[in-house]
Formats: sequence, C-alpha cells, structure tokens
Amino acid sequence: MKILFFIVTFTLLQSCTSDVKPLIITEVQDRSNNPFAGVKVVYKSMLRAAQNKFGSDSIGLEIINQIDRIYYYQKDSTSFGYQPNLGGKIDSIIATDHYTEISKVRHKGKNYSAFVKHKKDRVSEILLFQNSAAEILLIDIQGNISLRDVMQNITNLPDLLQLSDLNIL
Amino acid sequence: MLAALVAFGGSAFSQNAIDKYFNYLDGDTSLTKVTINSKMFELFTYMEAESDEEKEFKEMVSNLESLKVFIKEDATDAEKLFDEAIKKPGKEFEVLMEVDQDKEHFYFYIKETDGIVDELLMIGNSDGEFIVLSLTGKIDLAQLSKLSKQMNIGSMKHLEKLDED
Repeated sequence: MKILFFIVTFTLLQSCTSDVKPLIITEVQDRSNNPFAGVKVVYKSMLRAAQNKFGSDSIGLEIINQIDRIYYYQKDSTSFGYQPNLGGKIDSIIATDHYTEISKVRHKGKNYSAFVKHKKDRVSEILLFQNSAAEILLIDIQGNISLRDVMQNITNLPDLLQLSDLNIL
Repeated sequence: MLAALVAFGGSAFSQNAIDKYFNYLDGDTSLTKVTINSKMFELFTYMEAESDEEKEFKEMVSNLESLKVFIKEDATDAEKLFDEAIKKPGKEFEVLMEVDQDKEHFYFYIKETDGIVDELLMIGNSDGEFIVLSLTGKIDLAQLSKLSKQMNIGSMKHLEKLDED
C-alpha cells in the first residue's frame, strides 16, 4: 500500500513539474520522427556549472538562475536530416504564437532574430532564431525570467550563441 | 493630405546614423550588430514604477524608437576603426561630449530637430573594444544614464557626467 501511495504521489509530482514543451520544439521533434533526435536540451544545473565559461561581462548569474532549460537545434544544409521547409514552418509559428520580436543580432556573419513571450513583467520564453538557405539554428530559453533582467542582458544575447561552442551540449 | 504624406515619408524613410554613415562596417563579419526595435522599449512599460523618477524614466523610454550597436571585441584594429569612424558623422550631428581617459576614448554626438534630440550617436574605443551606437526617438538626455544602467550598456555610463555639469 505504501509503495502504491509512493508511486501515485511521485507520478503526480512529476506531472506537476513537467513544463509544456514549446510548439516550435514539438514541431522540430515531430519532423525528426524521433523525440530525442536533433534537439539538445541544457538544464539549469548544467548552465550554472558552465556559467564561468561565459565571459565575466556577459549573461549574468541572475538571469541564468531564472532559466529552467534551453533547447538548442542546429542543422545546416549539408547535415543528415536537414529539412528545407522547417524554417518556414517555424516562421509561421512565431507569427501566430504571441511572440514579440525585440531585436535582431548579426554575429559572425549570421543573422538572428530575438523574440520573447511574456506576461506583464515576467518572460516565459526567449527565442533566438536563424533561418537561411544554408542553416537553421534556434535557441529556445524557457523559464520565469524578470523582464528587467532580460533588458539588462539584451546586448549580451549574442553570448548565448556561445552555447554551441561549449562542451555542455 | 500632402502634409500627412510628407510627415509619413519623413518618419518611414529617415535613416539613423548607422544606416547612413556606417554601412561600410556591415561587410565586416567580425563585428557583432545588435538592433533593438521599438517593441523592446514598449516592454519597459510593463515594469513596475515605484517612484516618480521611475515613472519619468518609463515615459522617456516609451518615446524611443530604435537602438543599433556595432561591437568588435578584442579588436587589434580598434584604434584604426575608431579614427575612421569619427570622421563619418555629417553636419547634422554635433559633438555633445568627448571622453578621453585611461584606455577609453568616446565621442557622443546628438542630432536635434526643432529643439528636440532625436538621435544620440556614440563612437568609442574602450581598451580594444570598438563600438558604434545609435539611439533614435525622442531622447531626454537627463534620463540616458539610467537607460545605460537598465540595459547594461557600460560605455554609456559616461553620460552621467552630463548630470554632474
């Protein structure tokens, strides 16, 4: 009986803490026909461990503490499984799913757009997206982040692109 | 009707200094370019304003239109880029302030229309980091140092000197 109670409680707690996956990530994974293929996930603990790998002037610990997870997806046109239509599909999701475009970033010759989803002064998602003929790259940050902290790190957003260079992925 | 068209045309096609004078930097892939649009500034209005001072700041931010920044970190040619860049601004810009201290050299320019500052341009070389920044909108210079804190733009901290004067 105790074991049954434990299993039910554990299952309920798990279901309470599991966040809804963003539509964009679901779309990418559905197209890969494998929920674990392609998209990489970095969790808070890994981010905090890697925080010292960002420069001292870059993304602050305050914002990292408010991030639950980061989804990362990158495919260039020469990669196995590259889907040329995926970028257009993601564009259409962004256009209809309450994203606000806050900035554009050009970093190492590539153009990214940055979007947020927010309710009042809390940001639930920051999305960095690059869609070109040669490559699709997206970094989707999930959390409960203070708008003020997003503002204070807005010019440091390109530092998040270093994620692809870090050994945590 | 004609007046409305002229007004619309003026606002839609007016260029900021980065688009007008610093297009030549666009080809340099070692530079990072960040463009922040008015939507971002609108988000400031969602932040709680507790004091009158914060309310004034929010009012100022709601009148901003865009922020564009070119940054080149660890640039061995920062001084050369800086020397070239300070020759670029046209006559419509006047120097507001020059800061030359330690390893930092910054020029701040403003453009005024009918007595209202509608663009702030900053060109700087900070210990090997080259930066060009353009802020457009209806700009209250007295509030700018606060914006630099809110958006963590360290080089704009020099604008605090204007408060001291």
